[in-house]
Amino acid sequence: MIKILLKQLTILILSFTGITIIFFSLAQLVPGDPVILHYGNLTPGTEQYENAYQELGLDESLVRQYLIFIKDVLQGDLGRSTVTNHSVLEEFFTFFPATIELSLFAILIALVFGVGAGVLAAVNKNTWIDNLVISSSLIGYSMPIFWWGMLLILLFSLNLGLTPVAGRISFVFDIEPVTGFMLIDTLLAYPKYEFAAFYDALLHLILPSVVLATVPLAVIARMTRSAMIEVLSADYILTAKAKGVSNFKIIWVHALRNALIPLVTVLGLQSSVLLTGAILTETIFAWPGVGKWMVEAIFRRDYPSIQGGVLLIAVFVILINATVDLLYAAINPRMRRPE
Amino acid sequence: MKLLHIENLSVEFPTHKGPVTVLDKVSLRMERGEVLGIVGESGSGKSMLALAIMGLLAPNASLKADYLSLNNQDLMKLTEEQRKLFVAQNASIIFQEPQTSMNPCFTIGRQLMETIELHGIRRPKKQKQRARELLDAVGINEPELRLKQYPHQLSGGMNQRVMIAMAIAAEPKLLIADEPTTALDVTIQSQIIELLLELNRSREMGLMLITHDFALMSESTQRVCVMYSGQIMENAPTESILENPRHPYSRALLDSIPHIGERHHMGQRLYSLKGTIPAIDHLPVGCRLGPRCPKAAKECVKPPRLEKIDQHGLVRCHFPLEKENQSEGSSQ
Amino acid sequence: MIEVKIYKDIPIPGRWRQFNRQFRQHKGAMLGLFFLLIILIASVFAPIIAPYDPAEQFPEFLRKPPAWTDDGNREFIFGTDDLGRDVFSRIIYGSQLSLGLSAVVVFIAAIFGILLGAIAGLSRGFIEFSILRLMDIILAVPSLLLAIVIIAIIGPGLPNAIYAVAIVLIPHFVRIVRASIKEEMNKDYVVAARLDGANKARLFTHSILPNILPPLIVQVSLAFSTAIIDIAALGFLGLGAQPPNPEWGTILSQSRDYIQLAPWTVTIPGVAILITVLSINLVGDGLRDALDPKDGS
Repeated sequence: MIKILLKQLTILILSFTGITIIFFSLAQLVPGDPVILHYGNLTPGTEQYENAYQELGLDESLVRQYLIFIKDVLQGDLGRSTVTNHSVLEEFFTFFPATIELSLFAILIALVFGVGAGVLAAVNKNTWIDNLVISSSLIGYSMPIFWWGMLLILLFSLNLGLTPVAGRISFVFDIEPVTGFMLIDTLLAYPKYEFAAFYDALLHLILPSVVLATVPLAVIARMTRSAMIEVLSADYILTAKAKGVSNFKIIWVHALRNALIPLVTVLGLQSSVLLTGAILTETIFAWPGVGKWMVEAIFRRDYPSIQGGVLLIAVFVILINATVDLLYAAINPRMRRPE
Repeated sequence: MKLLHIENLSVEFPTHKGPVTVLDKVSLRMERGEVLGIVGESGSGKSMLALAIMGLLAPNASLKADYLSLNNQDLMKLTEEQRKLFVAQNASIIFQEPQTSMNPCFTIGRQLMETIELHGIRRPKKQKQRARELLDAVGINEPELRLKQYPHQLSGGMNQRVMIAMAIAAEPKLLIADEPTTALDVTIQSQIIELLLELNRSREMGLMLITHDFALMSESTQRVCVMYSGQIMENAPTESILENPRHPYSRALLDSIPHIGERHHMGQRLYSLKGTIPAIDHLPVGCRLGPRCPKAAKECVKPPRLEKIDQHGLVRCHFPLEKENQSEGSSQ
Repeated sequence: MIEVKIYKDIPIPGRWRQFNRQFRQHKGAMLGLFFLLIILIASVFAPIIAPYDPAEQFPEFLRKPPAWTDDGNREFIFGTDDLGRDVFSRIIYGSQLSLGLSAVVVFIAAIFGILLGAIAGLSRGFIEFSILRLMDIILAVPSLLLAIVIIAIIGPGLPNAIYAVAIVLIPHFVRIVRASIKEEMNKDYVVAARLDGANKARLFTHSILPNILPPLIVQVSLAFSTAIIDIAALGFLGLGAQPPNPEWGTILSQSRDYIQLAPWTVTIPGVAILITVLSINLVGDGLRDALDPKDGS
């Protein structure tokens, strides 16, 4: 276990170094005065400008500049937004909880329904249930989610009026952002609105998270189905049947436990898919998360925000992948050495 | 008292070309405590027979039998659930690959204790006690440590012993061993067979030994069924088959065993049948051995029946071999 | 001596025939292929099929609903958009962009991916390590986000979107090619070729490439559908094709504001994207099943 941990740590450090090098190089390609790109509108010639110039090490070699960049990054200094003049790191973390809340909810939906559908399809292989799961997962997998989101808004929000069109919560509620997670914050503000605010937040969350869950759900269902089919034909399933283990236990304990192992890897890959989807979903639903923030930053040519945001997201994905690898080792006994 | 009584058991699988029959009217009986050998090449249906008895066939398979009883209980009269329970309590099976026959995600202890729990011992402490006893009975040392280990951490032979421990947890009256030693080292093979035979004697447990290895049969079984292409070709006491096989297929199987210590002439090759076992959806007309049989004649395009030969057993052949001198036969 | 054959031999079909037969049995794949052919024909013969120029405006027919509705006009099958342009013609011309652009994208990604993958697979140590790390890093950034960043640096527009999506797709090719090479290298037939003195390049083109073709073909189909969706997504975000270009994603972003007034201008382009991607994925599934010898029983 320690060995795996060490290996993951090495990969983490290497990936981080790689990412920062790439981003540093990309920063060289960005057109414009690097001082202005980093610190917003400073006039050349002023003392402030000269200080910033010094700070970035622009009069020194590229390697020095990179080291300064790394030092800044490690200290959490990702520059300032050229539009709002706020620290990029701070701004990122004000938007980040919204994205996490949305993504977690989406992955929860994807897992519950994806695994369920996959198992159901595998158990009823070659029946109409199986065919239904296969075809709907294929459609889900092929879905352009930005259109899917619009379609659901058209149906549920505009035509049926069941769900709100956009945002995280209605304007009537004044919720103080304590954790940044709306579901928790509305509960923390309980005495003020009782559960009304919480329900409202939940109602806002449903449609975006269904949209975001669509592709991962389809992938998980397909993956679970094929893993389960393979596992169910294994000898140990026969052994369990011969022992008299109930069908329910064979499927949901013996087989699923083994089928989960490849699923964990897929889940790791889905974190990246999920964040890609979050950019689109947040744009459609005006969800104030990092995805929407990044797209807006591009239109405003707010390079420090783009650069810092992507760097943070990449680090986040790498961290998730490392966690998934650890999880994989933890749930797969075959990764353990013979004692 | 019959332990196992099968009359005309057939198993069919649907394919897109229509149903194929993988077991064709198999009949056999086993007495209590008997050791029965089932011999045949891979694809002869011997494993399918084991699965059919255990009720482990794939759900799309259809099983038909005139009579199928285990421990004097007619299985065909039970519902699916009742049958599953009854078979689990009265019969066990171990497979060829011990490594893949155990769930890789659970410890040995968990799998053993699960079996024990299914047979009525509820308290975890007692389950553990029983698990240790069982591991002891199959000759595994350090049972305490083994219980905490995963299957991939044990050797093949050790895993097969664990499988046997699991199989005898229910004190079954019948143990089906489907090629139990094929995947193991030669030295381990005889140990496992020894263990199975000892359990057979000490627990009065019937043993159905399925193998493609005639040599293995000869030392351990009382009776042998030779299977080919889903049919029983010959069914007779081990001794008489060894001395004097009446079916050309049994003869061929016997002749393909190398005999250590016998003098072989230079350049003399071991006997082997030409061709391979036919695909189950492309069976030859008439006798299924036909295209490969050295004695095939015109008559053989008609399917032969399993017929009784006095002082021997049952043989399915139009031209059963004559009783002959043993020494002549093997040097041909 | 005349050998009388009483028993029939079973003919064993060749690789291509087996693939062909397997693929034809796959109903979904045949359906996908059928739709794909229609879309392909539509895009090639767009000028003949489309009744109007995609940019032509009919001010007297603004937001006309599709022909099958009560207010519809037979002149405009799928209706018109807020500027009075024929939606059907725009969709037909849009298919040119979707199929053509993604083909270019996949071509670029496959060439670079296979090359890098081959280098990584046939070398050891530092080169292999750095290529793999680089690909891991690209994979760590969500694909659309990476494309967005690249566009942020080189500026929005169609050609830049193509480069961005192509770069995003490269790592998958690299991984597949490298993994397959590593797997094949240990097989006996490659060892035999090596013993015959084949050099690495020859080994790759003659021995390995034909054998890793199946996973590669499947990856191409996967990349194709990803490319279509990503190009449309960039268009939707306003970072890819720019209006009045009839690119499907761009059409969607334009009609977003009229979702209640003219819902058909939203639904129809989306259906076009969905059907195209779905067809490609169906064909991809069929290819995978037919090319995978494991399922060929």
